[in-house]
Amino acid sequence: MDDELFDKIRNGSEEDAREAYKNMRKNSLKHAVIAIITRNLSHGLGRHLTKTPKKEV
Amino acid sequence: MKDDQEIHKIAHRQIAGKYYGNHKDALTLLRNFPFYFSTELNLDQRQIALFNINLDGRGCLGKVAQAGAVVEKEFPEAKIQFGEVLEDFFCNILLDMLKKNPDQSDSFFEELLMYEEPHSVLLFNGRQFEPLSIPFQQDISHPKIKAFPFWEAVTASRMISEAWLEENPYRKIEILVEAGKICPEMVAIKENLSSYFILIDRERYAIDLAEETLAIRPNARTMYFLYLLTKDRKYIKMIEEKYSPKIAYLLRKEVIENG
Repeated sequence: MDDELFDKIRNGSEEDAREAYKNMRKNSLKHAVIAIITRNLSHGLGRHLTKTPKKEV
Repeated sequence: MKDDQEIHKIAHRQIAGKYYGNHKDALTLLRNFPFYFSTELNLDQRQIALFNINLDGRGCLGKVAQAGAVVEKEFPEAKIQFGEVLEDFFCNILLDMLKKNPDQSDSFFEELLMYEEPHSVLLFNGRQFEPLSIPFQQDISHPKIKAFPFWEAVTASRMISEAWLEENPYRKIEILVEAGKICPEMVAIKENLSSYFILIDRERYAIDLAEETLAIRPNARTMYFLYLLTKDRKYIKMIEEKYSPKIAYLLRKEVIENG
């Protein structure tokens, strides 16, 4: 989708290019918002806990 | 998409040739299994997705899949299940530390966010095995987990990564809908699915699903996601009350940097 928008920015009329730029910004923001919670199963052990004294569970 | 039989084969291929000695019980065996551990924060999600697809032991899913495979191989009588962590032991320690001292560094909050990410453990005979208990040097029991049939849940969790790597938004959703049929109650599937609804301009679905997951696995990322979608300050208030305003600041920074 971004390729099409890039093409419009480069080769389209001034109005098309402006509109395409706006859409590209919107898409980019959309992806940034979804990146907040699209997470794979992950999670290791960080440095703050490796420094913590161990307690019994 | 691969079915759970194929996933089972991938996991068994991953443990083939690994040396872990002879042990009288599953727990001792797992404590001696050559897992890979890293203390790197904010691992790249693409890298994690690729680890998960291959059930590579450098990722959490790979560790659990390999742990399940080795227990299944050496102790076939043991009942293995997959535990989705709904309340994280490590996260609770940091929350306690935060209560005692609210003035913490950015890296502290980044670590807290990491412990809130989707995570899983192996359950055998009803007992939790958290691979991170090895570098942490004590047995760990997460306060709240949801148990699933093992290979089905490994398959469904792997599909989260498959959807992550897929570029077509409709296909992403299709993959997660399929994953949801395998493990209908897995929260991580719903969290990811809710975000992909944004890609096809179905904000209402995204909000409803994120709200549903927030009630089961409350975490700062979902709160902030809901704030971004609804502009309702109640989610920011939730973040400030449970954690610190700094978490909202870090998540805002993440959106700006990625946007």
